[in-house]
Amino acid sequence: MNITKEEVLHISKLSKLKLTGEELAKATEQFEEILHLMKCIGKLDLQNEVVMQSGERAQRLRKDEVIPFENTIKLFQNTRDMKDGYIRAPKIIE
Amino acid sequence: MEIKSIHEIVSGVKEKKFKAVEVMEKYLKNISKHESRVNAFLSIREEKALEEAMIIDAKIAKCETVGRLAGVPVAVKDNICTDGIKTTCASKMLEDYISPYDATVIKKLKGEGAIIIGKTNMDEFAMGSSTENSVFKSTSNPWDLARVPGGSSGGSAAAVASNFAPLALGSDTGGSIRQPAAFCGIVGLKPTYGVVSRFGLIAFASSLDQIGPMTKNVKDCALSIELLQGSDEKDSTSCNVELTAKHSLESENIKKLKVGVPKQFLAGELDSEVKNSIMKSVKILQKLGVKVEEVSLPINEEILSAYYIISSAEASSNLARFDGVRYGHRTSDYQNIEQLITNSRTEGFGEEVKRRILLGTYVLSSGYYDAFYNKAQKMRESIKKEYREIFSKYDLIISPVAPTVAFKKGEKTHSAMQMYLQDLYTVSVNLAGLPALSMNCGFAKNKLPIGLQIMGSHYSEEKIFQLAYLLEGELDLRKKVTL
Amino acid sequence: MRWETVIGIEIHAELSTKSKIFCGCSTEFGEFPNSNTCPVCIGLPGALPVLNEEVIQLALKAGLALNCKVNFVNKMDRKNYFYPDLPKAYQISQFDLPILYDGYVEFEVDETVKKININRIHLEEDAGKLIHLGEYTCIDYNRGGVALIELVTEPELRSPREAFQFVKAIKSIFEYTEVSDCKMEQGSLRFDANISVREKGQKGLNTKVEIKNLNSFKEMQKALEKEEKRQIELYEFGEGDKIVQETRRWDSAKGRTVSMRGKEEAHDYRYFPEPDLRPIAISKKNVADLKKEIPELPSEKLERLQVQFNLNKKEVKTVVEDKKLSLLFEETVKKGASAEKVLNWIVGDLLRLMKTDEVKGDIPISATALAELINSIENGDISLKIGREIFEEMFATNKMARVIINERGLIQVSSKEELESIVEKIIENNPKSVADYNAGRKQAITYLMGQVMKETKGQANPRLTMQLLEREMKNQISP
Repeated sequence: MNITKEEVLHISKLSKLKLTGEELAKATEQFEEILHLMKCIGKLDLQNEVVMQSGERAQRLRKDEVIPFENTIKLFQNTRDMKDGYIRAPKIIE
Repeated sequence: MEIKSIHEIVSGVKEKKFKAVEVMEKYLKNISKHESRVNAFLSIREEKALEEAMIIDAKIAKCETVGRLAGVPVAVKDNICTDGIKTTCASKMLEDYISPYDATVIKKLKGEGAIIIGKTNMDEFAMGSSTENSVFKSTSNPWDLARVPGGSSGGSAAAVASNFAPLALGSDTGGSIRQPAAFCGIVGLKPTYGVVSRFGLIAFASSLDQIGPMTKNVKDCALSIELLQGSDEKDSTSCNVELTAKHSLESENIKKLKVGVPKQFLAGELDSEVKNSIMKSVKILQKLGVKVEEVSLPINEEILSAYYIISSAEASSNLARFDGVRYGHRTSDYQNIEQLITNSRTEGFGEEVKRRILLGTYVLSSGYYDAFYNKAQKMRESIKKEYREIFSKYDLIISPVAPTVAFKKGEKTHSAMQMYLQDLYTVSVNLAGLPALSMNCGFAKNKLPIGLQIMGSHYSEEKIFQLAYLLEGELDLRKKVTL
Repeated sequence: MRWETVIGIEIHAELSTKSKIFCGCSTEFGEFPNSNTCPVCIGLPGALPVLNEEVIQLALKAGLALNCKVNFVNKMDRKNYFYPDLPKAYQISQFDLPILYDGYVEFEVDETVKKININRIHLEEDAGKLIHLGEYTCIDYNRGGVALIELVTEPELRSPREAFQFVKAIKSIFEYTEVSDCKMEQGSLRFDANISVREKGQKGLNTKVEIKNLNSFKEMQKALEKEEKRQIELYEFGEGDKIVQETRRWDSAKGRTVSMRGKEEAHDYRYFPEPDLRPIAISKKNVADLKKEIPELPSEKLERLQVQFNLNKKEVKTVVEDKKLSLLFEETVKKGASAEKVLNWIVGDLLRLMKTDEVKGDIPISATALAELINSIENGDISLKIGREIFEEMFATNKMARVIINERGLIQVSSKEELESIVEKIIENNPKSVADYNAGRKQAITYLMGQVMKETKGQANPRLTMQLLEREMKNQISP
C-alpha cells in the first residue's frame, strides 16, 4: 500500500498544518518508510481483548466541590489578545 | 569543597559544614566555565537561585526545619512546567510561554528545599533521540563535544555529567531519560508508569510519559525518586504505591535475585564494545553471587512499530491545543481563524514534530484506526504478557540501553528511521509501563560512556536500585569528564 | 397520508454539579468571562483531567429514571476536532462504551401513550461560548468543562408534535430527578433534531437532515414542521435527491431552515480512548441505591393525583409537567387548601402572571402564601375578586396576603350590621331598581350589588350582600 500525496495533504489539513509542495513530497516519502515499519504490526494475529489502558487499577475520582484557581489573571498571562475578560480571535464565519 | 553526592550536600548544609550559597556558587562557577561549550541549558536563573540558597541558609541559622533536598541545585527539563519561569519544550511554539502553575514534581522539589538552577535543553516536545531537534540550540556531549548527549533529555544528562547540577529531571517516553544517561555516563531512572505525577509535564504520549531523576550515582537516584514519587489527586493515572528505594540499597536479598539477559538484545546491530561491556558486568554480578542467565525476549520491528503508532497518535492529539489562540506562538499572517490556527502551527512546530503529528493523525484517521492504533494496543497487551512471564521467573532483566555509544552530531539527522532505531532497547519498557534504570558500565575505546539497562516488574524499583548499587560499587569507573 | 415522518432527537443537558466535570472550577452561570477557569479547563499544557464523582451519580440517576441499562465498566474517549470553543482541540466524551444504553420513556401525545426508545446516554464536557462582536470572535471558557449528558433517541418519533411532547417529558424527568436545572435560557438544556421523510410502509430510512439552533420546544416543533414540509414537497415533485445529509440551521426570524453546508466539512473525529483517565467502574450496589433514590416521576405523580383528587386531567398534567409547579401544588394542598382551588389558582392566575412577566426562575409565591390566600377567601375575609388583585401584588412583591390586606385595608366587609346599613341606604336610593326586581326582573339585583360594591370599594362580602339585598327587597314588598 503506497501512501499518496493526496492522502498526506488530507492528513495535513486535518492536523491544521500547511506543507509546501516540496515538504509534501518529502513527507510522503518519509511516510512510506515509517508506515512500512508501522504496517508490520498487521502481520500479527492478536486475540487479546484490549478494552482500555490501566484497567487494572481502581479509578480516581474527585469530590464535587468548588476549588477555584488561585489567580485567574495569571492564567491568561500568555494570551495575546484579551478584552473585557474575553479571549479574542478573528471572527468565525458561520 | 569536593561534592560527591546529593546526600552530602544536604547533610553538609544542614550541619553547617558549608552554606547552601557556597554550594550554589560552586555549581554556577562550573556552568560559567563550561556551559558555553556544552549548551545544556535553555535558561539559567542565577540570581534567583542564589537568593533561594540564602533563604535556606537563613532558615538553618534560625534552626528552622528545611527539607530533605535543602540547598540542592536541580536542572529541570524544559517540558516540565515551572511557575514564573519559561517552559518552552525547545520549541518556537512556546518560546515565550510562562506557565502560571508549577508541575507537581516541582512543588515537591521546592517543598523539600531544592533550588531550580535552570531549564535544560531537549528535543522539541520530547520527540527525538539526540537533542538535535531543539529549535534554540544544540547540546554537546561533555565527553566529546562533537557528539550528541542523546535525547530527548540531552540537556539534563549533559548538565549532570558536566557537574552543573547534582540532580536533573528528565522525561522518558521511549527511552528519553535512559539513552541520554547512557550517552553521558550518568544514572537515569524511568519509574513505573504512575509512580511520578505527570501533572505539569507537557504531554507527548500520555500513556507512555514519565518524569524521572538523573544523577551522578545510584544512591542519589534512589534518594530522588523517593521524594518525587507519590499519588497525585491532580493526575488520574498516578498510583498509590510507596517506594522506599533509598533505605534498602545494601540488602542481603541481592544474592537471591535472579537476573535474565535477553539473548536477542545482544544480537543484531549491537556495537561489539557495548556488548562486551554488558557481558563484563554480567560476569561481575555472577562473581558476586547473583544468578544471571540468558533468556529469550524477542525484540523486533513490531514493538518499535507499536511504539511509534501509539506515541504519534497520542502526540497528535496532545499537540492539537497549540493553535496560537490562547497562548503560544501566534502567526502575524492571517485573515481568518482558519489561517491563524494553521499558520501558527506550521510556523511554531519543527520538522520532526510535524512529522509525528501527521503520522499520529494518519493512524487515528477514519478507516485506519483498527489497522494501526487498535492493533498497536493489542500488541502492547502481548508485550505486557511476555514481560509478566519473564518476571515470574526472573526478578530483573539486564540489557544494553542503545545500540551504540553517543554518535556524532548530524550523523543520524538525515533519516527519521535511523533515529527511531535508537529506541530499540528502550521502548518496550514504556509500552509495558515498567521501571528501568540506565547506568554507566564502562567506556569505549574512544572514551565514550557505555550504558547498561536494568528493568524490573511494576514497582520493583527497590530491586533495581539494589542491583545497580551493587554493580556500581564493583565497576572500575574512575574516569571523569574533562571539559 | 402518503408520507411518514421519522424524527430522532439529541439532547444535551448540563448536570447540576457544583464543580466542572474534570476540575474544581465553579459551574455558576453568568459570571465575568473567563473567571471560572483553571489550567485544566482552558487546556493549558501539562494540565490533566480528574473525574467528578457526582457526575457519574447524576448521569446514572437520569439513565435509571429513563429505564436504561448500565455499562458497569465504561470509559471516556477523545473526540478530536479544531474549534476555538474547544481549548484542547478535543472533547473528552464517550464513544463506543457509554455509561447508559437501551432505555425508554413513555409520554402522552393527544391521549395516546407513546413509547420512545433511547439509544444511549453518555458523559461529556461542554465547550466554551463564542460571541461574535464586530470583526472578532470573543471566547469565554466559563462554560467549558461543565459536565453534560448527551441523550440520543432511536428515530421513532413520527411527528413534530410528538417531538415536542417528548422533549417536554424528558425535561420533566430531568427536573424531577434534579439531574439538571434544565434552564434553557442559560443553555443547560439544548437539543438538535434529525428528520427524514419516507413513504408509508417503506422499510429503510431516507436521507436525514440535522436541525440545529433550536432555542425552545416551540421553535423546535416549528422548525420540524417547516423541514417536514420542505422534504415532503421535494419528494412529491420527484426531487427527493435534492435532500442531502446535512446540518441546517433554524432561522426563527425567517421561519425556515437554512443549509449550513460549506461551513461544515466532514469531521473525522479520530476517536480513541482517553489515556489521561482510567476506566469508570460502577458497582451494582451503587445502581441499586440510586434506583431507590429516584423520586416519584411525572407520569406516576399524574396517575396518583388523578386518583387522589379527581381533577381535570389536562390541568393536572400542566402542573405535573413542571416540577416547581407540582411541588407548589402538593405543598399548598398539604397546608389545608382544597386541591381543586389550588389547581385553579396555579393553572389560571399564576401561569398567566408567569407568562406575562416571563418568569423563568423560581416561582415568587410560596405554598404557605398561596394557602393563606385561599384560606382568606374561604373564610370570607376577602372576596375572590379582591383575592385576585392581592395575588398579583403577592407575585410582584413577595409579600404575604395578610400583609397586603392589612396595608391596603382590604378586609372584606362582612359585618352584618355594617352591610345592613349600606344595603338599606342603597335600596332607599334606588327605588326603580327595587321596583324592577320585585316586578320580576331579577337581574336588577346585579345593579344594586354593583352599587353596594362601589360604596364599599369592592370589599363587601358578595354572598352576604346578596342575601341582605334579597331579604330587604322582599321586605319592601310587604313592609
